Amino acid sequence: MPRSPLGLMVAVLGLASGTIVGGPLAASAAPGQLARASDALPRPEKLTIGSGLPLHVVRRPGMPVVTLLALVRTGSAQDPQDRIGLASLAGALLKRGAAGRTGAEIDEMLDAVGADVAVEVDDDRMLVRFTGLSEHLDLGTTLLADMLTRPDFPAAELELARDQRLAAMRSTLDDANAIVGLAAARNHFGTHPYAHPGQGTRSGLGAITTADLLRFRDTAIRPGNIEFVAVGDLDPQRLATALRTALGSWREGPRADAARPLPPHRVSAGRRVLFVPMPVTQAYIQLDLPSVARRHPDHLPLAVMAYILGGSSRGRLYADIRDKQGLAYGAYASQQAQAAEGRLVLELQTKTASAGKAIDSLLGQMRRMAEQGPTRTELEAAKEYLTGSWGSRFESGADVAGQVAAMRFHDLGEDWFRAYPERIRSLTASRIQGVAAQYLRTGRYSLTVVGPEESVAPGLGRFGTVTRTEATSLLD
Amino acid sequence: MSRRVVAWALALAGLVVAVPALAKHARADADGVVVHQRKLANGLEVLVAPRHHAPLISFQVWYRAGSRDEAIGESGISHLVEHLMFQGSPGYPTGRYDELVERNGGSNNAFTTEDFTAYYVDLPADRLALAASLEADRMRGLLMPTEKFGSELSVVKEERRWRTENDPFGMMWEMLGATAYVQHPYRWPVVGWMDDLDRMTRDRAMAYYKRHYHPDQAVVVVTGDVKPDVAFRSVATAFGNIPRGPKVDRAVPVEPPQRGERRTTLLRPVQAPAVMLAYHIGNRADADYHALVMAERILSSGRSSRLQKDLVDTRKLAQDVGASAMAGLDPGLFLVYAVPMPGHTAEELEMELQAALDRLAREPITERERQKAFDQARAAHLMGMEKNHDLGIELGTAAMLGDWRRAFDVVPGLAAVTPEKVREVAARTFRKANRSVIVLEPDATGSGETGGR
Repeated sequence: MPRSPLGLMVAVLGLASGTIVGGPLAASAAPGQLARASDALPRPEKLTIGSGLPLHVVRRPGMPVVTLLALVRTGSAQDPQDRIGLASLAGALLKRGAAGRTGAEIDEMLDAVGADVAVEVDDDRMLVRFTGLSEHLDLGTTLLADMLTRPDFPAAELELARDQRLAAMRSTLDDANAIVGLAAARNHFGTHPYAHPGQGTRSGLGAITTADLLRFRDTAIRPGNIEFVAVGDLDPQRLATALRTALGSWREGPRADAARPLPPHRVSAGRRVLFVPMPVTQAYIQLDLPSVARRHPDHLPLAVMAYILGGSSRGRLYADIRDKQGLAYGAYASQQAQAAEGRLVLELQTKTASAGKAIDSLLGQMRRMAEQGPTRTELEAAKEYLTGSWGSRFESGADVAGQVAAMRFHDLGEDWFRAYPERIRSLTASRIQGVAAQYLRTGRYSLTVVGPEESVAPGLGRFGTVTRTEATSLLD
Repeated sequence: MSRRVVAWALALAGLVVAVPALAKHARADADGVVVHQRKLANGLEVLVAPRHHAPLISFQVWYRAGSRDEAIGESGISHLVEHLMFQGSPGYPTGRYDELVERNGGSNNAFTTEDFTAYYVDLPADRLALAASLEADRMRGLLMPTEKFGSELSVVKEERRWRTENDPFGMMWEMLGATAYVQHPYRWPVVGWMDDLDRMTRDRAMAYYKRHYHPDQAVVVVTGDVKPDVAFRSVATAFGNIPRGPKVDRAVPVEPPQRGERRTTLLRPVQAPAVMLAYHIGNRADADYHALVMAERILSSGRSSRLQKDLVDTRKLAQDVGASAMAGLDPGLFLVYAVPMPGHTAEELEMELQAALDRLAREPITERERQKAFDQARAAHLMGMEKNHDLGIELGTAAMLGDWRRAFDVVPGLAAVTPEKVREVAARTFRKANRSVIVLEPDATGSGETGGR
């Protein structure tokens, strides 16, 4: 079994970087290879479909798999207060009936060729992604266009999806990893929309009607709010024409209402501890600190700092809490930046008896980083990893499509893929220490702990003001 | 977590391994991939699959040592040794391995299964020599510092708590092995029983390492942007002078035929009940294997599959369903499971699952179902090879289970399966006398603390 979910953590960091430079064996790298690494980074071609819908294409000749993705600029954070779960539920229902085809008919068409349409909704974005063999791109184009422009939202499918989600909540209550995530979002974000469970709350899901779904379709899934990304062995012009036909007059219709700007997250001072009782054999611990949104100039230095603190098996948290003390299977830190806000997240699981000791270690490592910053060697190694592994973030068609969507969504600039390694290399130790000192403050945090009441809860008082909540209330 | 889980994931993705009847070749072409094979004088098998779409490679070392090779009382030792492999070797003492991989833009990890243990480094293509040197050094010898042994053992216990004790599916999985097998080592968990971990010693771990970690027990797989002769030379330079090990006898007790249903009820403080049914089947090389993969796809692959459409979407009896043909080096299990919707019981779902299997044993599948399963498998196979890492995992898994060529036999294997064959195999397999039933029952009075310490 895996020693650590390293790949996953790096993906969460959203870091990833470019050319092959530096490293102890750099001398062995042929110069031609360095140039090739940079050449291998995709250069998306930008086309427009009809009057202004963008289509970004990355051609990958010879690859049998094609990805066609629609990036919709709306997400769960836009859900009305009394309809939490609307964007996520609407996204799932796009596949359950469109342009007169039933959900079962769509399933049959996709399953018959081993293709898939996956809809992913997070706080800020909705991604509708067709993946299939190149020969099935026309099917993907038709289905994706129908799902976006003419979703039917049949009443029976709404009832089924609602019942399935409410049922799945029971399984969520058996999953301590999920519970600590939900609880930490609530503890950290309080009344901010990022605190809501994207999958929905019981009352939110219960209240959603077909009229809500249609309103969502008519305001959020509109031209002006959507960009397409295609990756594979395909002809860009031919695809643009096919999309134009498939989207029909919809693309000339009313444009989307602008997404509602999210309110700023006002972090209250002090140390807030949230305890959630669960009958498990470990304490699940997450510590959150306010940081910055994705486009803030401090994001990249914070991401590098978090990488050094706990982004890998070489991180300080891992070295101290896992390798030295043997307290946890993993201990990680990451800078999780969203469109409107961000947070630094430190997390681990440990046997109940060592919960206090593990939290002390987290706080101790935070203090040390805030006071002294990274060592020169740590910073060099981090830069070498982040720049050296950048190319690997573009290996599959789905990887490339995701990178293009992120670049477009956060408006990172058309040269982002090539600029990123340079931006990482230019970060200085004092810049990293500066953000560490500014953001790693041990007097203002949210600490969330899930575990058995009798063995974990009594020791938490010394970390701040403790509030207790039942797991089930996180879904209300 | 374990090979059974890996096998399940692979099987669900359609990346299943077929039965080859192929002679030894140094080279084979399939599905746009060319695989070159050589064997070094010390017995190390090397597979190279060059592909040039990105300047990246995956470098993997696969050892023929898994939990099936453990002795009674030392369950979990294969997986513990996997962890200890990261605690330093003579040329790269503690921490050096991870440091070098990091500084060269690579990612690394490892996993242990019932049948084998695999290590991988995914990194820029021009760092092949580094990966080979790192892996060769820890095949040659291991430091296993005493103080690291204790802390790593604690880490493994935390992993056991996290993945098995606190995960309802993990708990059921462990009980399934312990119920379905009475004699074969598949009956104990890859992570090990807690009591065996408590009594584990450094000496035993070192003895296990010395017994199993040798070139003639391993396969190196290199996939990605590399020329075959460059890769072979690099591997030969790094590994060529490591001596062969003593002969390893991998024979294990044969599981006797099951003579009647077995049933385990697990009472845990959970919200959602669940049920698993598992039937003994052959191993990966068995003649029934592809028919069982066909059955698995028809039952649960995609939302239009039988279990999903009938039990979840139409009759709303289940929140989640699945099926998987899990076969490794030794005879495996065909698993079906369901999580009931509120208002329905595990008992009800047990009957529904058995009814769906009985139907497969009674009526031939339709031509449309057969074609759909085949097309799904073909697409999944091609999509599953897009990344170097994943292609390497397929080749390595197939090599560990007998022959790397099986990584490409899924499409021809399924093409040869007839509806009558599926029916005949289903009738032989899905008998109540051949099944083990695991029921997870919510029990509020149970304490979560009982499992660990």
